[in-house]
Amino acid sequence: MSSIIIANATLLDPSEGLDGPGHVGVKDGLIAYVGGDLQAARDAAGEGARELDAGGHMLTPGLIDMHVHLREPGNEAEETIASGAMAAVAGGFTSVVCMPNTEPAVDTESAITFTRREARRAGLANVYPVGAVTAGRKGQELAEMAQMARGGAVAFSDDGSAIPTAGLLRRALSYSKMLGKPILEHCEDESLLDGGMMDEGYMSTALGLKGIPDECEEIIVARDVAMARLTGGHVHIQHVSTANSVDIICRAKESGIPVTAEVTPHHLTLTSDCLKDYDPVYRVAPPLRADVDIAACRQGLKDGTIDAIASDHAPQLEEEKELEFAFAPNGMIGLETTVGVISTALIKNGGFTWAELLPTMTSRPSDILDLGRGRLRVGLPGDLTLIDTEREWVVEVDKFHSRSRNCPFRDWPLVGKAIATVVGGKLVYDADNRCREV
Amino acid sequence: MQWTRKHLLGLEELSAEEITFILDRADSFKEICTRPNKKVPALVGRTIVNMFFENSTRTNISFQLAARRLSADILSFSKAGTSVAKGETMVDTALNIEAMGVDVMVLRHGASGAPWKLAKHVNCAVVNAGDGQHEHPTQALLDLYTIREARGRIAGLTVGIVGDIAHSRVARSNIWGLTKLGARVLAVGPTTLIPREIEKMGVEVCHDMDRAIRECDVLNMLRIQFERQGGHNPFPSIREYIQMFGLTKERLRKGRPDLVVMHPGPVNRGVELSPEVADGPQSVILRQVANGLAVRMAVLQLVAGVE
Amino acid sequence: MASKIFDSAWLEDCLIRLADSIASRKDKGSGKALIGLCTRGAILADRLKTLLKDRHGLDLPIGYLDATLYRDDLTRGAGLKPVVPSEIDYDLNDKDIILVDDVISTGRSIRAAMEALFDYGRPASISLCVMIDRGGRELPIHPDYLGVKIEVSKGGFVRLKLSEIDPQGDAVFVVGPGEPEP
Repeated sequence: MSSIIIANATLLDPSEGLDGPGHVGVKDGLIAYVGGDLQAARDAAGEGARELDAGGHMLTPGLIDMHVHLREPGNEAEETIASGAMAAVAGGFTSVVCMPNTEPAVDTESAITFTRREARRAGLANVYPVGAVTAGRKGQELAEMAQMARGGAVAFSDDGSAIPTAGLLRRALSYSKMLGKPILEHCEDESLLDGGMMDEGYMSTALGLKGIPDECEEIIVARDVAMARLTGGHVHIQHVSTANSVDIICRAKESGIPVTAEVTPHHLTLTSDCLKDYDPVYRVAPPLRADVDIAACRQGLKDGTIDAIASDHAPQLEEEKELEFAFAPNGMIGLETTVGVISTALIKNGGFTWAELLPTMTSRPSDILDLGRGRLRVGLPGDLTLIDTEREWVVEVDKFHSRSRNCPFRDWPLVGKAIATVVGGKLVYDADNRCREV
Repeated sequence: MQWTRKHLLGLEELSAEEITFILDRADSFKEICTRPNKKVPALVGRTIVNMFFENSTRTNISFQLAARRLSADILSFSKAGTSVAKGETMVDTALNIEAMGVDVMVLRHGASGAPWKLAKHVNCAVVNAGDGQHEHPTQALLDLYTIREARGRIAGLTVGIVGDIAHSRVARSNIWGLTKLGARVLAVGPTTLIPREIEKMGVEVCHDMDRAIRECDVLNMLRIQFERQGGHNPFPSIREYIQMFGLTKERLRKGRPDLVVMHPGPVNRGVELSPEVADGPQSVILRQVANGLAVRMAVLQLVAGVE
Repeated sequence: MASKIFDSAWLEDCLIRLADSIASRKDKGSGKALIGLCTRGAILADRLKTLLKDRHGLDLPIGYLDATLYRDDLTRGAGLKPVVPSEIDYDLNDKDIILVDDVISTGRSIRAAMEALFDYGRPASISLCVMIDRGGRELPIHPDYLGVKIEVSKGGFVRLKLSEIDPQGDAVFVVGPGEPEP
């Protein structure tokens, strides 16, 4: 078990009412002290604890990314559980929630167990597996959800596609409600998707690429809200991309329907104009939309309609992203850029504060998935992230810990970066070598 | 002006001056095509490769003949049905061919944007011979050339592009070229074949064929691309389409007597055009084909000369 | 500054002398015909045609040739400037062609013109008429009818201006190295 003291930090955790100078002591993996007395923090951490001088930088609960793809098993050239976990901690994330659309799909208890074991071996971030809703993600029969829950699945999802019919979703939600787990929905209607490759509008017309209308997403969001109302099961809308979706979710929440939602950094910052040179790095599902959608997603974060920011880290081989646009796969990676992009685009230049956005990457995803983390509270796991909010850096994809390079923020100058990451009291990332042994 | 572009990828990126420059040059090549000796030594020793990843007969032959009349060496390969996920990618194929010493690649590809990708990876010149549903610049240039030849000008004319605009690269390139040169463009067809926000490309949308016939100086009748509809019929039946948008002799009488009828080929006879119209006095379809040669000679000669 | 060395009176005298000289030459084939090299050679050919008709009663067929596409520096940039279509409406087989140009230097454009002419047919003969020979020949090509020879220093050149298209009117300028176009 690991013990550590983070001294001289600026503590930030709105969920615990923390915003000011202080110290944190972690003993045997659990938070043992949070407060202004350094000696008390040292005493709480006990003998042999390491000590890291935060130099006044911002210390937050360990960040949680509730939507990543780690590609193992099946596509280990793109990412493995270990490389993904390393990318996570280098990006400031202490916990990641990985989707089951691997090859084969994670749809059994043994597959859940495999993921957890590989994560334990890597010993970096906490990796929480999500199980498939339907066997083989085929959208036909329900997978063994209860057994997967027993094995440690925190939620269920056929991410990559929506549950194809309302009837099947109804059964899935009603069943997952019994298990106390949410269903995470990728909202795209197959019949409207119809081979589309990008947002439908002027750009798709001019580029001659088949478009995907906003309604492709919204029709599924509306259907899912209706099924959540019918069943009382918790549906979580993944990667919201359109203004109307935000509106539907907002109204559902006002009616007390158990729905939550997440948005990605790319849907908060990039539009379909990025596609003008046919660079497949900007090909993603759901597609990059318009400025009005970005504005609505940001407003949704502001007013609490959208609960979480999640990267949808989706590694793809560089060779595949070198294909013609029509043949290139969807997906962008984000674990190592989320903090910088959110800090730069939303906080420095977008009118948000860290206090407003931090819960979307800590306490809110923890609550949605019942992870029991994401707060600077004595007794909770010692997951901590130290962020230099003023650090200027440039995104160099060749330095990524991820095995993939398909990052739309390549070469962006950013302000704000995670500089140290502690998972369960263990220092797993220390960019500036701040730590000293006591 | 002097030509400076290494590639001809699309008309969206060309200026009106550059388009006119190519059309003017095509005049010279058209004169050459009327001589007993139709060959000039302009590209002696140069090598051109036609890379056709999608079936095409007339465009392939037109580029081949154009290259030969410029005294270039040309070879042509077709690889329809791109199996890209497995095996060699387009870029790999192109780099291998380029390594043999090629000056110009003429690319036909089913994926929109493919020529831009190719141009990023190779050092030789790239000419787009049609990419997906995006652009077909040499077809649009020959259409512009034919309109200018038939009507003496392009600025101020009203040109109707009729039919399957959604799936047509010919439509997009024509729209860019015509609007840049000052024509008024009507996009005519059923709502299901007109893509979203096409008005932003500078055209007016029209669903009334008879109005289009009354207002237009030129009608460019696109081929219905039955193979590109992705398994869905964009209109209930061919009979209904013909009734609404087919160009028949009777319908053509409602237009001005010098209305010019064009078609990029191959014609679905009896669908877009009735046979009497396709072969009638107002049709310039075969002139388009002849002009295509001169235009492609001009394009090849220009891009091959840029270092 | 470019210096003007001849004016319209000189040019007129010169053309008369050249026309007379052309008229006096015996035909080898079925008759003389003019080809003006675009752009200024074409204008000079027009003027010669008028003089030959007025002074000698000779009504010669005339054509205009742009030999850009036959140039040997085509792939080194020369092919990227505008070209104009050639217009040769008569059969030049067995004709005695008089090729007309404004200035000769290296001889390369005349070589290109001769190659182009053979793509239209087989003339009985080709002779060359130029207004100014500025020296600097790189090929064994020499005018049969010459207005004047002007040696210019390396890097300099000679410009013949014609009232049909040039605001300066009929004039000949010598431009030294580095000097601007007149």
